[in-house]
Amino acid sequence: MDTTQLLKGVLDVAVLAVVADDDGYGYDVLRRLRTRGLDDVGDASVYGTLRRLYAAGALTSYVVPSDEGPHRKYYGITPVGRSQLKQQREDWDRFATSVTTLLNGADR
Amino acid sequence: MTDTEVLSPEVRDFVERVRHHLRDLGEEERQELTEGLEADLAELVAERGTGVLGDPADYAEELRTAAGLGGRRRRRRPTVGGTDGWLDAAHARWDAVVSAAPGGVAGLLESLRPVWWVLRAWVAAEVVDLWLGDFPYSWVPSMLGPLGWAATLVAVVISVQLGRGVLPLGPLRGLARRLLLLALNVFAIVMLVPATVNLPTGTDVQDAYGEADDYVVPHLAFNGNGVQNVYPYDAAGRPLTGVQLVDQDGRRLSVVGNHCQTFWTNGKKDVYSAFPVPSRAENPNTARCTGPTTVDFPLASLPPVTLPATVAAAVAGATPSAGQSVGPSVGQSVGPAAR
Repeated sequence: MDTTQLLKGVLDVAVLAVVADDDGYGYDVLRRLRTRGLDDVGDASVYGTLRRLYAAGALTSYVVPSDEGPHRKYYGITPVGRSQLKQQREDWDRFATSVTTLLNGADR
Repeated sequence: MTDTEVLSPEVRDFVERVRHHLRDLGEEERQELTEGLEADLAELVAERGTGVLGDPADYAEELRTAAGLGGRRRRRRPTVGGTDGWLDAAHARWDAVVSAAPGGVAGLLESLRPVWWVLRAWVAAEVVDLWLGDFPYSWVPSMLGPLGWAATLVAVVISVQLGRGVLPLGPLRGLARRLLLLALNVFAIVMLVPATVNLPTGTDVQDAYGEADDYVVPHLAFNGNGVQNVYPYDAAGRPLTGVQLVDQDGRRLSVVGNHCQTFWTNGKKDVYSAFPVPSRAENPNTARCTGPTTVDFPLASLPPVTLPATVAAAVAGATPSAGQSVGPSVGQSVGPAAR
């Protein structure tokens, strides 16, 4: 199955989930997603998603300057983001349960 | 986690190119989209090597799509109508045609863009060279002598920086900037033809272009002045027409002529070496040609001439078949006529 298509649908909630406890910058967020099993996720997709969630008010962002290297842009979750995460988690649970039931049923 | 990463040139260049592919976005949007990207990519590259940096165009597209700004090819800005909208539409159509072409044409064209940046800079320098005009025209603009190279180099740098979208054009932004660049590009395309066809090829550099002002069509001259026509008479002093003349090497002779003349022909093309050349009269005030085309000998006849008997044999031996109807011996009419 082409998991990249599946990823697109859940990337928002996945990104919100990995920054819910701890702020992170782009590559940091990407690494968290990959270590938790989303190996195929593209970095540009993650960075784009972060920007979009920020524009939608679900994330806050701040730049941490650096003396030697380029500045790093951190993202943290906002109350809007938290309620969005809660809502989408419920949606996912319902959806995943439905699909799992459906697939198991079709197998018999 | 580390606070800083050393920014490699590869990463900086990659981000630069990604930003370039996002140039249709507003500056604020673009900044928003790419801020911190260097740091993220630097860390990625530090972990996995520069091989992870793919195609900047694809990367920009993915970034843009994920950020919800829509694919570039479907992107329109309906709020900006008029010329900007028309340019966007034309650009979108072009993108559609190119991306629909088989065999990775789009990628090829994309890769060739820097070649065009350099080429148009060269055209610009050559056009200045053509315009100044006093100097020999060559592959390297010679406008200021040795500075031709330097001038070309400066033009290339400016052109490439413009192409990469990193050259500020002062107060020119948005539509004005687009129109200016479009005009310059079109101008370069048009001038590519004169800039190229005027270039010297191979060995004629010095002959034809090294002394451009001195270069003239080969012609007969008498006392330094170009001969306009030749009127042959035979040995008996009677006018001859249709006499073809060649020099000692068999090269056909020709005259400078004038615009009222009509040349002899061999049925296919004009033969400039047959004399006299018929001509119409030229009005000295208007330079217009008037009256019928005629052969007007300056003198009705000349006194007859003969060769000493000792010479006659040699001339006859050299030209066994010269059968004019005049003169006591074969070939005599040729010798004096050519003198």
